[in-house]
Amino acid sequence: MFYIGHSHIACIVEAARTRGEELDFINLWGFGRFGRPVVYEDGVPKLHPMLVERLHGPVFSTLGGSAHDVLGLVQHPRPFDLILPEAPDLSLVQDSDILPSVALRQVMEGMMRETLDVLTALVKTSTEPVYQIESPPPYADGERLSQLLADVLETPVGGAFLHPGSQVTPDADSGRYKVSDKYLRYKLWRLNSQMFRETCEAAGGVFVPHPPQSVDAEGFLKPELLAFAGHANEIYGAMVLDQINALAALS
Amino acid sequence: MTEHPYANAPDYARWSRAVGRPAPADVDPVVRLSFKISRTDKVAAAGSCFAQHISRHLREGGFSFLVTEPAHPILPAEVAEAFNYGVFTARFGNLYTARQLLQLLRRAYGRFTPAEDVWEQDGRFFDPFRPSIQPGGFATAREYELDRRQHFAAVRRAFEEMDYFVFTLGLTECWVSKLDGAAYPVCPGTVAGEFDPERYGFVNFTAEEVVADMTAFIDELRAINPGVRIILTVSPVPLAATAEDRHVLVSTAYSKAVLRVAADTLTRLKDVFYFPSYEVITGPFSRGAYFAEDLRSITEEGVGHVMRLFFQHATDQSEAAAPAAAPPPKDDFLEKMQGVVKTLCDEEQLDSA
Repeated sequence: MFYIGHSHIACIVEAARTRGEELDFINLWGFGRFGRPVVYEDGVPKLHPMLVERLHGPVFSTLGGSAHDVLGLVQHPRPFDLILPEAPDLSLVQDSDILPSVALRQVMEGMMRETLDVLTALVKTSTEPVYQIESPPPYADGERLSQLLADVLETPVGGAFLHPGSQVTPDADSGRYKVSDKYLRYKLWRLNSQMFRETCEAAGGVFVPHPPQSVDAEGFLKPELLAFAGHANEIYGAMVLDQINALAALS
Repeated sequence: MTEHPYANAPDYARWSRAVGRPAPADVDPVVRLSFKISRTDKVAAAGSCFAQHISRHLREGGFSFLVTEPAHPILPAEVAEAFNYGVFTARFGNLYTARQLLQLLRRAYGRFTPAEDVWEQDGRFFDPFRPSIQPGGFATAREYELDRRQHFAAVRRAFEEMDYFVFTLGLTECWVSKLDGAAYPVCPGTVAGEFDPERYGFVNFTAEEVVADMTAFIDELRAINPGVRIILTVSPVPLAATAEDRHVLVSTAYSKAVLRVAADTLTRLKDVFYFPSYEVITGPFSRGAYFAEDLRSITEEGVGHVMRLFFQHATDQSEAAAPAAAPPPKDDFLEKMQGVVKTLCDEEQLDSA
């Protein structure tokens, strides 16, 4: 089996190591030194030869999974919200601009264009099934996330992304980065999942939803599954690994 | 022999001197305007497709073009444009007729609620009065309702805050609901909805009807915003199609004549002015140069001539030397958040190494 993804691959790799397994994986965060993961021939994305060489067995992808955080982790100075088509009655951020969900989806697609094309190319190139693993659900507690953000961003590296006048600034009263309303984050995560699901399935891949036992009654990540820096932890990774092993057994 | 009225007529009153002789770019049908828009006056614009040119040039010309329904900065320019943000003062869509304009005001203030105010098609929801405003329609009824509520709030703000309202009269032909007379911008079934002759009827407004609708609009607008000044133009864009059983050229001539007469009549009201963009585009002096190959679209050269005269006559040129307002700082939210998220993801890699 081969694993490919971005940061969300980490919790799966950790869980495997704890079980004494070493996964054959590639984290595309570090791929840049080899070039782009896809090249375009007449507008058609083709996988980088180095990635083609690595393909074997069923492929499990955790590509993407950050567009919704880019859009919605930190509250925008001009709050916005959307009506999620699959759950139109979820509450709205007060005094926010209601933006078309299709427009926000287009913003996400613009941000994720290359990643979506990597997924398409992966599915089309692999001779084995390709499974796109849904990114972890968002975590409800904005206060805790705010503290985690502060822990990371108040470092020289993290702070480099922020500067006076930047739109991403700490809240004037609390000094913390104001995390967006949980339902907004949930909606954006659903849009992101929908985008990856549709791309995966259009190419002929299989979309694997999050482990159902990983979420609370409202669909948010259970507290014990949160890693530092807003990602899911090894326990969540183990749940996903169980899903993967079950799928691998079938294929 | 006693002198006759034409003996000392000014040059602008003589065709040979004002139209036949000058170079096309020098033809100027504006004789006098009794207003001057300053750079701080809030100018709103609405109307038919030609009005979009006016909006754009006002904005680019450094005037205070009022936009009460701006795109959220998180939307890139191409997405904002596709969703019709910033084309007019609010996301009106094209308002082709005086009846639509009057209806919009009444709907925004809750004085008129059409019996049929949503079209559902293939699981998507369309605004019958702005069928093209949202590419592919609204995803849910709730999204449509909230967008409309948001839009009406922006419409009210526009009416309440504007100092000048530039309205381009576009059409006299219109399809209306047989239930309650609600006027649609386009025939149901062409962009969205489904045509049903039992529900929809055709009207071709007369000059008297256009004057009555515009007068009612102006009265109701002035009740909200007593000082607003209104600038009317007539769209030079010919009809794409006519529902009258006659040649489209004949129908176009009728529509434009009606609208031109109505506009002239309305200038007898206080603080209502006419700007002759129609004459600039359609006047024979340009020998058709201001129409594109399809003989409908207006060339940028034609729009440029109109707007050059507009800025020359209708705006306060004494402020021309003032520096243009600095453009708003680029919204860097997405760029910075990409950096933030990358940092969070990098941290995850460090932690799991």
